[in-house]
Amino acid sequence: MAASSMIVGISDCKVTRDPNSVLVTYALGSCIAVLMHDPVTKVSGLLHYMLPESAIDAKKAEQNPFMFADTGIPGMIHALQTAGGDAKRMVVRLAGGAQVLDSQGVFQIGKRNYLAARRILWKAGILIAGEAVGGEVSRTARLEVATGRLWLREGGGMERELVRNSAAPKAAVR
Amino acid sequence: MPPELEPLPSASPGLDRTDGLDQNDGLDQNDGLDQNDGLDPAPALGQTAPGLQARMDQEPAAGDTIRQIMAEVLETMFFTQAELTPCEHGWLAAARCARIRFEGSHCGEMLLGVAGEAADTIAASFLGLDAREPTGAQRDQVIEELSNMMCGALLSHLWPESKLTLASPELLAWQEWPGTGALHRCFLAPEGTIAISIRLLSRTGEPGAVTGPAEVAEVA
Amino acid sequence: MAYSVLIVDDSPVMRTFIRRVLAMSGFEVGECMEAGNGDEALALLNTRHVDVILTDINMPGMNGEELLRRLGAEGVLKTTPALVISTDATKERISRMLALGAEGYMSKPFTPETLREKLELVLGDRNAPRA
Repeated sequence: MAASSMIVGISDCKVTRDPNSVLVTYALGSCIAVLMHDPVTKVSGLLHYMLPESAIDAKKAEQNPFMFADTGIPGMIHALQTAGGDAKRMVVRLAGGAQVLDSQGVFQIGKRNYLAARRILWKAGILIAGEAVGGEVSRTARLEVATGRLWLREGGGMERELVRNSAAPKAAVR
Repeated sequence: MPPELEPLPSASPGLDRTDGLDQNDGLDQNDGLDQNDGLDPAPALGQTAPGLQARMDQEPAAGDTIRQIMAEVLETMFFTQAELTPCEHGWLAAARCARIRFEGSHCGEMLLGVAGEAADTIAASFLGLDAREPTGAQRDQVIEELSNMMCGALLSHLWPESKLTLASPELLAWQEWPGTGALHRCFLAPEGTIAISIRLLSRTGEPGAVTGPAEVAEVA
Repeated sequence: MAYSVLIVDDSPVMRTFIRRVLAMSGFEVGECMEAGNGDEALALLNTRHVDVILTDINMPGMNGEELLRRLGAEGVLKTTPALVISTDATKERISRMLALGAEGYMSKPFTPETLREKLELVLGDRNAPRA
């Protein structure tokens, strides 16, 4: 049976355990995609958030928690657990956090988004299994629910698989 | 453990302890500090104190290395970032500060100051806790460990071929640190301000001439 | 099979950080002991076996270098790997610690993931973590 794509837009999150599904998100610039996969139950999730902290707009965070890292990531973990996933088993990877539209990096929102993800995941007791972050390219990320395999396209380049690694952030694609 | 360094020269009467920082902080106008008392204030960002030009030039990488190391340490284990900012030191009187001494092929000391609220948040990030959860003791221990990492990483980057021993960090009020001849930088993190000062000392404890491999008298 | 670990560092919060990484890494940790310096570490090791030692260098009292020297002399390092975790990243120090028998050397700062990776190398695939 052909895989069906579940597209995750900006400030959005989707969770599924359908093995025929592929979670996809496009145009990851300074945003961060958090991709989680439970290798036992296959419960998988993809969160695409824009900003690090909800304190700047609590009302907006209430309407859409997936816009911010500090409301989106806990919300995603809760949704994964509700769907039968085990947070302790989750294979977690990050993509995005580029410095786009601002080559001077004045606001460094991409890096702030990335550090927010790391801080919140550390607080949640979750280590990262791989990442493709930073640089100045826009990215597309695709997570196969059946296998947990993660595919990335950077800029106009070829799609490649992000295999599991536990390297320090500096080892990530910049 | 490195032996105790010789105590630094005691302050002249009327010397405002906070004027070991830059000349433009507005704190040192009445301290009687002048170029003839042998105690030079640390240069403001982008400035050089008189008499130190040659020695600063001998360690041109130090300022940039501090910036790089600050970024590396904060981003890696504290999940935050900080940018260089013009010095403004009113907050230092209430900051949580830790001093760390080092000895070996280079002798000196480094002082790290973190604004109060920033110290709480940075400690929470390190420990994986909510902002209000760390105890006062935990917060202070995190600041000490941050100073330990900053100092060790900075010295290892500046002088990778050297032989160094770091003492245990100790909490210290910023005003208690003479800071004479120090290289000083201020940083702004989302949580608040951070200041760092580092200086080399001679084996007799005086700022200035250093015996051993370092030709520069001061990292300043 | 659960590992027993000894963390040697004079900073209580650094020991907490490392302990946290161990808990998150997927290794089955049976007992996680802590020591504030080399003297305390030796006292602990006199009474029990551990599967891995994680040690700082600069500590009051007996430092990490002297600890490794003693453990090497006693033959402990033949059966128990020691991973050094220190702010000192100078070449001479790294060489000395490896020459004394350290299995690996990590300089601070390090990411939690880097520590997990080092532990995987040091401990091998026994009880390999799930992720």
